[in-house]
Amino acid sequence: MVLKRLLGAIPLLVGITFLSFLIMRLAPGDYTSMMMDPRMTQADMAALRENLGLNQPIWMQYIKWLKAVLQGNLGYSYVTGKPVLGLILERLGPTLLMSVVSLVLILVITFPLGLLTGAKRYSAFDGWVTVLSFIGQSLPTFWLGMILILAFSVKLDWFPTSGYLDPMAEVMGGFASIKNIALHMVLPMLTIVIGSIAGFTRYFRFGIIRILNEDYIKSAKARGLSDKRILFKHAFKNAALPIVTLLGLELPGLISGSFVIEYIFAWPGMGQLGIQSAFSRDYPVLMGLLLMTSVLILAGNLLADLGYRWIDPRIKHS
Amino acid sequence: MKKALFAVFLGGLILLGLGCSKSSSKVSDTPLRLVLKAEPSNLNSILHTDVPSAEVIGLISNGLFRLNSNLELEPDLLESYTVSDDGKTFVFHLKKNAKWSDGHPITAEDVVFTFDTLMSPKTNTVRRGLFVIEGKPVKFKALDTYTVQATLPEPFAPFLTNMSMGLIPKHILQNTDINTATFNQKPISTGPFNLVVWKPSQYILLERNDLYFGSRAKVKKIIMKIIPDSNTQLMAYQKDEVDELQISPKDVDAVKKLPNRVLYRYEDLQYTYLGFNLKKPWFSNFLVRQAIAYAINKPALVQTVLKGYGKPADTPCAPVSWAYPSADQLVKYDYDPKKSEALLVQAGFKRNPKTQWFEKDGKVFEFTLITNKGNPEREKTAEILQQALKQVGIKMNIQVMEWSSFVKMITGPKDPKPFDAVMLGWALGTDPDSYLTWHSSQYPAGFNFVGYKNAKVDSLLVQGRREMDQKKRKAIYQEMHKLIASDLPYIFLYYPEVVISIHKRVQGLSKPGPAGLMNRIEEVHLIE
Amino acid sequence: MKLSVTKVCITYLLLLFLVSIAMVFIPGLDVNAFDPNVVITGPQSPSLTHWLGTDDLGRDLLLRCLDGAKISLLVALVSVTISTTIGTLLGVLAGFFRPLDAIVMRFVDMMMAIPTLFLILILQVILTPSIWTVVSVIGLTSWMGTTRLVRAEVLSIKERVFVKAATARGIPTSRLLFKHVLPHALNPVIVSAMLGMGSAILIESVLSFLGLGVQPPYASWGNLLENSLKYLKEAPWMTLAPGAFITISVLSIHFIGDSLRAKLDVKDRA
Repeated sequence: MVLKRLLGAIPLLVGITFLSFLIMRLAPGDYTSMMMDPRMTQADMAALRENLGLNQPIWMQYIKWLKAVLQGNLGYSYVTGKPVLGLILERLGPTLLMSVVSLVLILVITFPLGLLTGAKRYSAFDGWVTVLSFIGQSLPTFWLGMILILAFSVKLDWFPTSGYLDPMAEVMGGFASIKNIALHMVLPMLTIVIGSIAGFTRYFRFGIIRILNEDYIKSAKARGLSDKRILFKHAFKNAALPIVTLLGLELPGLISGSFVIEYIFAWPGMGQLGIQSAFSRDYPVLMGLLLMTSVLILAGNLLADLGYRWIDPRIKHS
Repeated sequence: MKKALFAVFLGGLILLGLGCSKSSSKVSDTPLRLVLKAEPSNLNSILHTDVPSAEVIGLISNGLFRLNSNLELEPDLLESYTVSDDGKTFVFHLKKNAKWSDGHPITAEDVVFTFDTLMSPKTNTVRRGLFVIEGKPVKFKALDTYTVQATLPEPFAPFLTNMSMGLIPKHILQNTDINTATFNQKPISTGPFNLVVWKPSQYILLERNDLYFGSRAKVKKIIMKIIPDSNTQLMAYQKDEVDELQISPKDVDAVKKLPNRVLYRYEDLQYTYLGFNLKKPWFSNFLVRQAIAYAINKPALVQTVLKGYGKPADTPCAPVSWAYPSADQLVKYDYDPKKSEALLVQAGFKRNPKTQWFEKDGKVFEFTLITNKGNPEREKTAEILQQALKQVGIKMNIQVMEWSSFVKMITGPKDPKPFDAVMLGWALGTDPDSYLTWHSSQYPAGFNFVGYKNAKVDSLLVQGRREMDQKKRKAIYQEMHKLIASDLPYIFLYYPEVVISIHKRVQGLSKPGPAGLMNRIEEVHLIE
Repeated sequence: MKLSVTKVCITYLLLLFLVSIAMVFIPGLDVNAFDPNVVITGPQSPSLTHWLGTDDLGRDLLLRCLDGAKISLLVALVSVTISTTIGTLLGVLAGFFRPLDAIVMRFVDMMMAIPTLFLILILQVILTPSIWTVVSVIGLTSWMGTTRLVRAEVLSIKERVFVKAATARGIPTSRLLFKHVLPHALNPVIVSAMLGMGSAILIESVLSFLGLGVQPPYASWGNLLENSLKYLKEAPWMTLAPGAFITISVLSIHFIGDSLRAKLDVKDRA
């Protein structure tokens, strides 16, 4: 079944990349129009377009790209001339670091929060958590980020304003580097977490409500087991299962959201690369990024589906 | 006895002197921390196109010439040179002690290789046109290990200025594809500093190059932090995470409040303007262009947008340039809205008493100004112009376009071009030759996108390029600028100043000017 | 308790929208106007003449925020309408007509594998950013969730007895679709559309922040924020006002959506 899914993913990826390729090449203006430089003559521009292969018909350019990809070559950036695969790989680390650690933090906060609000439905606690998490979800991310920087970095000087690792700390290496990166991560992570609490909490909340209404819980209650024991022994365990599913479902959101966060906090990840390449019309990099992120998302979906079926074998394969 | 005493006395004075200077300002060992406002694209002298790349390259590479604080050419890798009487043949003698940072000597072979690579059509560069005169390339030949001969098809005044372009090493780059060479991210240097680390999107670390042929740099390390967002740049500066920052006029008051900082300001080689599409029926009428000129209050504009850090502009040349017209040659348009309206009436427009807009042949005088996204001062200026023109009954719409589409619209080969008016700025080179901007041949494909045509200006442009004597050139350009200003193809708006705030600990700065505060980077050092 | 919160939210949004539209018809009121001959020193802090202060060109901030409301709310409304229409159409087609199911769902999978914001960014960079491109781009990239929802609902409804009975009685497909299937399928769609509106407002603000949204001189909350960030320290009201409007409006939409969901859930159970 996994094999079927993997095979099925291939035409998807081809479709995605071809569509994107088409959109980018049909756009008015391309990389050469970025170079409005009085020193450049029209003859030079023509030579440039020739060198970059921008004069060939679109489908030919696509086939060329596809062939190269299958050989592991994602092309070279127009802007820097660096190999695209290398560029993306060196940015993958910081993005994964931020996403994974944020996700862990979110789960640590929202799991108990969700369970408690679900167990104590409609209580004052539930009400407050709902309102606060809704507010967190309604704040524009970049606005929140800037305000956090203003408050905690500029006014209070607790954290650095942006970046990943200070050169001096890097030179010192070891624990000093790790501590330095951690300091740089606090504010962007806080921004991500505040915005995500609502969604995750509600997910766990619904989960626990559903579980608490299940027959086996009701029978346990009828048998006289204390509420607390029911909660801890049975409900929690089952409510924890969807975490794998959640990881798969939330990954696209995190990858998407990373663009803005990385831009504001100058975090050297894939999202920042995406924004820079979009603005400079660096197609090879954009195509490579699209491919990479689509692969990650499809992988996440596969994981989520597998996890879902594993938890609940009753779900028919539709 | 007296002699000995005297010697001791002198010795004592000297020791005292040394002791005094040491205790008043101890030289610090910490690195110099600068800001790059965007990630550099590549560090190859002939390929790079963006400002951050240029800033880094300026610290690690050298050309035959360099620009000093007075914007004059000085020999850099050059020892001496001769030029033939007809101005077409140059013989350059290179310094014999110059080395690349890997120990290889810098020779004429490197010079010839640099230009051969530049002229090759396979190289993706913008600079080729600098060395192509009237369609024919400049020819370079190595006469011996340290001598290069350059043969020009015509005498060309800007040639020497262009020779300040940096060199690339033959022994590393021969037989490679220059566009994708790893050298572009890991260059070797000829200059006072070497590239040690380039952490993409984070920082670039430079270290002193002990093989530099010039004087040894005083500072040991330079860290260039990459911070693209302007708010973040300012915050980093306020927290003393960087030593220097170019700031925009609105932040000056906030920065002035910071302790231990010094503020520098200087006029730059650039101007902002409103350009008319001269092929459009209304704008081809000189009276209409004049009417718009009189409707703009330039001093108020400079105060509101630049907070006074700038001057109104009246000519396509900057005051810092040696070719700037004298006061009596300037064509000024003072703010006079009544004159504006009178000129419009003269041009055949009538004011509609109900809507207050001027109309001609039943159509409202309405046009769209385009400008590029990303320059907040320009966008603000556009909004101010909109209000100003509204007051004299002209309806101006603003369209802010993304850079790439914007460029396509104004430099595309269509004739007539699809825009009405454009607001943009020109960064001027140190050489006043502006052939590409004003010559009638540079339309429709080229940078004369307004479609300006003046036969006298055309001939002056060609003359200015051929004339080698600077005094004669000055007269040519002054006359030319006066003609252009009188024709009013653009409304020249203002010259923005550059404002830089720098920490007191940074010493050894050069005279503030377009050649940069750290023009002699070898002199710069930090004190405690 | 919950019901009154919802009422407050609905009232707030309606009032905001109506005031914003009404402002267009007030003669002589131009929120973008200022005197270019007076030197404007900078943004003014909130005072009795300007309740929320002024921006860097001396324009009243409260008026600009109110003016921007109609654009931000309209962008949300229109883009969600587009995405809901597309999503519902595709969902019904996929759920009702077996052969189309595979194609449509493959297409949905494909679109969902691309990070939405990234796609929107690329599209906006390519097109000339304006209100219309923002609305279209958001509308064309947000329909996938609706399609899946509608399809699932249609599939489950198809199996219900009353539908089978109707088919047996020979009722034509189209009438079946519109009179019986669609009304039931729409419940989750309405809730999802509400949430979609909230996210559309946020996406517009991000796009404007990056300079790819609504362009000046038109005011939208997003581009008011973009202009204000340069003045974050010296004029925080320029950032707080539009940010607060966005947050409160999106919050209201969420509350309304949430109570709608609760109400419809109960209805469905019954």
